[in-house]
Amino acid sequence: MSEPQVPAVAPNAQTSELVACWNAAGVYGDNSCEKLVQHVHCRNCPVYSAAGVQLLERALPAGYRAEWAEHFSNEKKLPEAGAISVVLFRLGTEWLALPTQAFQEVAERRQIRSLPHQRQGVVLGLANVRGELLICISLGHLLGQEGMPALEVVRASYQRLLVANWGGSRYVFPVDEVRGPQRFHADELKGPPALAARATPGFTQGLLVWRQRVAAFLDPDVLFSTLNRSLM
Amino acid sequence: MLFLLFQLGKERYALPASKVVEVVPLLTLKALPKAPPGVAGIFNYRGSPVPAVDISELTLGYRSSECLSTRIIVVEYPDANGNNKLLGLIAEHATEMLRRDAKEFLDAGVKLANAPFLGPILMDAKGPVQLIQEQKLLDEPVRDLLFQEQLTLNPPTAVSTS
Repeated sequence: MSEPQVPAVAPNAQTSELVACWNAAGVYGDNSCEKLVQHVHCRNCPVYSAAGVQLLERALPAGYRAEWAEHFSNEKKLPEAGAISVVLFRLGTEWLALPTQAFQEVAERRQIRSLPHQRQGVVLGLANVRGELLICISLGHLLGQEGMPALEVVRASYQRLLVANWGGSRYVFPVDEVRGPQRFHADELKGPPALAARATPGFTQGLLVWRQRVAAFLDPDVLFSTLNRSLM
Repeated sequence: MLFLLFQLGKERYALPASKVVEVVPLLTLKALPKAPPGVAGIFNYRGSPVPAVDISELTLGYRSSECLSTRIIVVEYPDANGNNKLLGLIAEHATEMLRRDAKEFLDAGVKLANAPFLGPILMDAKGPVQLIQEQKLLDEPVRDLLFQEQLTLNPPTAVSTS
């Protein structure tokens, strides 16, 4: 096995050395290459893609064939019908989820301008998102989770502002962490335990388990209609 | 039309992408003892055994080099009864696609009796590209050998005796 077999193979693998012109004259170098006028960036240049293809002219790494044989011996996983796509986010210690369609954007945290006479309520103030002033709400307050212990160790760099739009009503709400769109099968949605649901029961349509974390999957219809009513 | 390019020796050849089921990396094959030249073995393709032929060996007489750019092109191949079966074609340099009008492939003008799979030729700036008619790649005895097992396992239900 260890003896390299030398079949009668014509030597058609090009062994010319890679010339990393993109590091010298290209965009990763001094931009002096004449072809940049036409291609703008090295990644559009045929020399660059030819060098990429040449990387495939290498011998197979150890275990490569067996690994792929194992991979292709399994059934192909097709994107299943009935899958739901959700955005997971964290408020304090609580993981929550809303359908991905409910979100327009995940924005950086920014200054929230407080409104007079709105000190205690759901409304935190106004936030400027792309030149538009949107009402910033406290989701924790709405869900009755205001008194939750906040994790002090959490890095502020995870904090985001979620821009939501459901049925035309647009809000932003600050969260402590966002884990981008994740797909779940409808079967993975588990009913909330009768007592354990900390959020107001009506808001939660089920629980999703993601990487050993349990996230409450909120019902956007209930959530946003409650929100609209509370602002009247 | 989109074509998948590969090489036989130093020459470039193409398969219409519509004929390709999937391009699979060069994986471990179960060898078939006493198989005719070109028949590389059998692999487990998503749960079913699929034979693989090395088209370099089939056409040029030497095996494809074992490198990352050598891949298995899974195509559908009609058996003796015209039922489509899956067949893996081990091809070198199966790394590029080409989008061209099918009319740009011109009749080669040369017909080789022992190479019926060679199709029309495209004269490209980088050199000629010849279309492969993948359904004519295998000699009939080889084809019947490869798809024999499935034939006996799944006998045709209604055979009209004419």
